[in-house]
Amino acid sequence: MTDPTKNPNKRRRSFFWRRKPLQMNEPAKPVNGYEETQREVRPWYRPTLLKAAVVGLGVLAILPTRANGQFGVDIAAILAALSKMQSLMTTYIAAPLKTINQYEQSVAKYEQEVMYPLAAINQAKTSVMQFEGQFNQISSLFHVNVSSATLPQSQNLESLLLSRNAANVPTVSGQFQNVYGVVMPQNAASPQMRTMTDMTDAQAQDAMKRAIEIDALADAELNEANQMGQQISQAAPGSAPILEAEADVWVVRANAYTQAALAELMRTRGIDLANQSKVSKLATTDNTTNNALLTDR
Amino acid sequence: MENQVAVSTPGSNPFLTAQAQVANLRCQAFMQKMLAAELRQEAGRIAHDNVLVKRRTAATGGINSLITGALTAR
Repeated sequence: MTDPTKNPNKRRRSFFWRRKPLQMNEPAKPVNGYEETQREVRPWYRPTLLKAAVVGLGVLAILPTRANGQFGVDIAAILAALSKMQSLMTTYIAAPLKTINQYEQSVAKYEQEVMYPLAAINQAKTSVMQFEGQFNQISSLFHVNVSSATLPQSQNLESLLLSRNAANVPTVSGQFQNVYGVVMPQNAASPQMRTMTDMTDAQAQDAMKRAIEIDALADAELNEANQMGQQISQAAPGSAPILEAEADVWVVRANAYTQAALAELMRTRGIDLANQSKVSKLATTDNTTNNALLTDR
Repeated sequence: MENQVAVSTPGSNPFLTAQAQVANLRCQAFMQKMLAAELRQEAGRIAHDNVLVKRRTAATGGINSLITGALTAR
């Protein structure tokens, strides 16, 4: 069977065609069964008016409904608004910003020339370094050896008292007894005398121990002062007050330690006065007893 | 330091103020060292006085023993 699409006798029709009425005067054609079948069977891909309309409607439905052009009334309005905005910014923002900038420049100039001149700051730092040097010389004076004892026991006690080491405090009592002796035996003196002697020894040892502690504290304060002095010579004007506050705190602590030392000194002198008074009382009692004995005989 | 304060500016003044506080701290430390020395001196003095009391007591005890021995022998 021959392919209909390749039929040389195919009847060509235009895209838009209409079924023409059958003309009677058309010459008779040989009856061909094949042609009659071709006219009646139309393939789906044959273009028709209805198909073209459906395709057209589909294309119209898919295409965008609106599009803005590059030039037009909208662009003109935007340009006008931008121009107005630029004018407003120039008038109400740029001018104040310029004033602020001038103000900040004047403030910076004032701070550089009046408040924080670099020359004055460097001069102050140089002064701080000079003070530190002077204090270091003074501190070396306190490290001169002043030990003077000559005998072994007294040398041991003196080295303990001048050690500036709080860890040596527990060994003071033994060295003290080696030098100053112990309290009298029970039957060797009256209870009052033994109590007075024991209390005086205790206060003397307390004062010696406190002296060692105060020396150690003073050394710690001097070390801290040296560190702060070095930090001040390298500090900025903004960080110097922080170091000053730290020094203030240390001064408060140092005052407290000084007061503790003064209190210990007052106790020591109070014990001394009490001892003198006690000696006077015992002497008076002894004199009364002796007078009574002499009067009886 | 006082001369430096006289020519200082508000920006350089904190350095001198902080240095003055550090100097104050050092003065406190030196004061404590002197107090410690005075404490040692006072402690030594009362210890020394106490040793005299101990020796007097021991001497008195010895004299009492001698007197008692002498009287007992007679």
